[in-house]
Amino acid sequence: MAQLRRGTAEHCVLALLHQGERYGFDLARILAGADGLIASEGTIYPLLARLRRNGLVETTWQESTAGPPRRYYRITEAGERSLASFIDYWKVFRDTVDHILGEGSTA
Amino acid sequence: MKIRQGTDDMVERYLDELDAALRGLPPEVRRQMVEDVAGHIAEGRTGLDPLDEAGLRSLLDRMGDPEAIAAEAGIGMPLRLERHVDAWVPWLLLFGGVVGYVVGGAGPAPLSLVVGVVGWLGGVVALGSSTIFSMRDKLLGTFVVPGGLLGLFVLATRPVAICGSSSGGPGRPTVEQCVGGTVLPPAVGVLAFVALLVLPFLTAIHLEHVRRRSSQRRSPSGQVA
Repeated sequence: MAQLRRGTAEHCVLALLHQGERYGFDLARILAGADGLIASEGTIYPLLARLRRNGLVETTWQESTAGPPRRYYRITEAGERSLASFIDYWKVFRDTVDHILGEGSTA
Repeated sequence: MKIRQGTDDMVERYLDELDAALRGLPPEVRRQMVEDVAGHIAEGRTGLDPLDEAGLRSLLDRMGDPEAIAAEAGIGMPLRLERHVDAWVPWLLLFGGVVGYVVGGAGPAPLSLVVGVVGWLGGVVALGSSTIFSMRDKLLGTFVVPGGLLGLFVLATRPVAICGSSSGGPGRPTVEQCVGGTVLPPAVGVLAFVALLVLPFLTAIHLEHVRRRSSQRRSPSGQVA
């Protein structure tokens, strides 16, 4: 279950970055606000480190007018490919699980 | 001012705990992760009154327990990656020595023994560098029985001892002489034979079992099957 949650959270980050670059604080607040995706805001950083290590995101430092410089994350080509294949997989997976759970609940 | 010092200390303590919890990660990864979390806290504090201790506590609570962050980073859950060579480990340990011995000429010359040992050492190196076997498995695989089936094979292929007895005549002791081969008392010989045959096989079967179990744990399809 932890692996499923972890893989899903990683691709949710990629989906957010697909819309445009973001910084860690911003991503952490969005994901921590969604039930069950990450355990706490701090756990986003190991997840981002994994994505960076696997070449799915890249980072740049940018000055901020409101505080310290921010590390911005941007999705890479490899990240886009991984996201596209996850979306295809997720649709089939979700439908299959919904179907089986539906059968189970009516039995 | 004193309260500000107190809030700074809270942040410092949190980052120290995180740094300690991340011990075990490569230094660069660890440094970067602490830096990222420090940046997050600094960002969160820009919206807070510097004296707002309760606000800072909430911010740190939302960050989560340093141990939870470390667990997400894989600390406490050693990364177990199976390499192709891991599938060969049990069989290299079992047969590597024999194959090397045969390739080396299978004769009494030291060369064949050296090549045999090198064949088995290939299995030992693959076992030692693997991440899917525990230290206990590695010790078992290396020391039970060193050489795998090589010992049995060498004993079995050595020339049979030819023994004869001669009597020096009445009142003189009977002398037994043997030429070539290895002579062991029968009980010791049977024990050695069983040990050299059975123990290497049991070890190989155990290692193969560990490898398959580890492979199933990692593969969701393996769990479903």
